[in-house]
Amino acid sequence: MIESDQGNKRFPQNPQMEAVSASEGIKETPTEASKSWLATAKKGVLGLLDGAAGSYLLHQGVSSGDLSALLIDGMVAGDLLNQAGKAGIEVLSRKVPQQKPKDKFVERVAGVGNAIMRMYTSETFAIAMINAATHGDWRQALGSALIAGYMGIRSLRKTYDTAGNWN
Amino acid sequence: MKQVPEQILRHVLTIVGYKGDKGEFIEEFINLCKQQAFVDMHQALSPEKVKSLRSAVEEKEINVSDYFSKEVAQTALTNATQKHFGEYIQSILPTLSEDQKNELDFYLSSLGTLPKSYSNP
Repeated sequence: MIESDQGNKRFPQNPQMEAVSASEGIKETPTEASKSWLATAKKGVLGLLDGAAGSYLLHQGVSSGDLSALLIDGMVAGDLLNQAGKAGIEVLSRKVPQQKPKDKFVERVAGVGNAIMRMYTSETFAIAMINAATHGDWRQALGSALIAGYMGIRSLRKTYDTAGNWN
Repeated sequence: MKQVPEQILRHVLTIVGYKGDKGEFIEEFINLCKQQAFVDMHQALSPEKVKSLRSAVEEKEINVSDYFSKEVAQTALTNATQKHFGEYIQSILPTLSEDQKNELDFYLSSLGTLPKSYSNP
């Protein structure tokens, strides 16, 4: 544990981190780290949106058999449903026979469920909902939250470890 | 002090030496926070409200205030932004020089929301 905030330095020094990076010859740049973080965060949130859309299907009148058949048939997979949504359907799939006629669930999903899922999982839908719900007044809340988010991390810096991470 | 998020984020990206398209990053970051806020708000809805919202989506006639108040939406957005910005800073911190860390700290600490009693331990 390193805590060298005795002088003007606001952050602890971390010579071990630099030493490790130098010995490995690899040091990610802030730009690379920023892009990597954003890509991961976007994937996570879109997965949550997909999961919320999946919950709609479960309330759609589409039967559990249809849902399990959807999963088996690969129509609802990958980006469309996140792991949470899949897990829910997999639970259902263990409870029902898996010999549903394909045309039945294709018709149902194509008719209603899929359209809703597409709308609900679209990035613009969620953003539009927030813009409308805040009456367009989102900047103040967001600006203040940036500072609060930073301070939350800053307050933890006493546990700054030798790997260069705040724990 | 009024905080304009785009300006704050742009300054942060400048401090950390972000070499990509800052405008694009900022837009995607803000959209990310809004999406997270929506997910969080949706998860807090009652089953009856979820069912009603589903119907409204089907009919493409959504009165948002029937489901989410302005206060709830702003709180959700605040929480989502706090979470994501904190995680972002934490993720890039190991890539920053001591000077960058100090400049970042000086800038964000100077924006007027810190309690007067706060000081470095």
